[in-house]
Amino acid sequence: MGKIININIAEYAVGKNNLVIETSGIGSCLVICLYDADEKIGGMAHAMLPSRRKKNSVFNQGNTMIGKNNYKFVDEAIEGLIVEIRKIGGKKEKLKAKIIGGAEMFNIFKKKLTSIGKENERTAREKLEELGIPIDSEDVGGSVGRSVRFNLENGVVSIIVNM
Amino acid sequence: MDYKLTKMETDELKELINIGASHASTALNQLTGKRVNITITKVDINRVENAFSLYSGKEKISTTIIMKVFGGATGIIFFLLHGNNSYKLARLLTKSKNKVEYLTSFDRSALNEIGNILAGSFLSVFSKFAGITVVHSISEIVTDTLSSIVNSIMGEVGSFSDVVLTFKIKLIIRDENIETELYFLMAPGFTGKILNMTRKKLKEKK
Repeated sequence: MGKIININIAEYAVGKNNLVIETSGIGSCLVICLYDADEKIGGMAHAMLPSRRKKNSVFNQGNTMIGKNNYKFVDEAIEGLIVEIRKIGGKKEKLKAKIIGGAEMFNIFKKKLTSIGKENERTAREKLEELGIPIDSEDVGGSVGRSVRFNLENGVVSIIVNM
Repeated sequence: MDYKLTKMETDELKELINIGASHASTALNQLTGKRVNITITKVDINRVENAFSLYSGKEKISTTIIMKVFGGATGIIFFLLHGNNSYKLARLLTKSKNKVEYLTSFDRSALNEIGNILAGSFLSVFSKFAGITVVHSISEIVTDTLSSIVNSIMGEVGSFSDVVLTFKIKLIIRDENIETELYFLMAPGFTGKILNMTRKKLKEKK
């Protein structure tokens, strides 16, 4: 096995060939893995919220966040990953996605028909559809946390469900 | 803008949390009949995505007793019990001789009660001192890895604030080797109001 990179919440990593990207602590957060199988190039982002809030957000008070902070939001994380994957030779039209997470760990936070976990999942589906990237496979929802390992050699995503 | 606390503001908030902590430890002492020590009281302000630095042991299996806080301020209050501390504390309260190494429904019920009582005693002092009337919801118990628990909680906080103000208290029952951590999270927008009221009360005290 090649190099292993561990990412935290609101971070991302891209790479190629024998790189392995890992992340843990995926509760209501959503992990997006994008992979170009021909080039063996891919990336992973660990996002915590669906998108920027419109009001009362420091992001909307003149503070432009750059770098890893963009990856806090599902929609921007997907856009950012595509940009980074293309920089190292991946092709957008070849990309396939895998999404993991979006659990509802706490009943007290459920809001009628939705929750942060569900919103994260919905936003990812919408964004990927908008960008024409198919979802290859998924492991979303439920009520327990997960850990993920993404092997760029073969595109295999391994999921550990933490119980 | 980013929120930052001056040293003086941190000290003032610490004074408030120390009073809250002493009430919570007294409540735990009365519940268990054991001597309770407060070992850490901390005030932290951070972006939600960076707030994990306050917690140690990413992959540690932990049990949380969690409640929403509402009223004059919006927030979340929760207790963390790592590993076997959860059922040790529950059985200390119920004087149960059960030896199984997991939370039984009776243990869960006891933990809910502990959570309600400790959160109530902490928040009543907070309400009194900060001049904000806050109440907590019913409690819920979840066991998972610490990082999944904290990241999910931060996701909830992130839905109403980009920055989180955290009050942390560590309570230890040394005789039984039981530790619990209490966290009170809120949006920092309430900081100014809390500080003004705390200063006023502290002056009255002097």
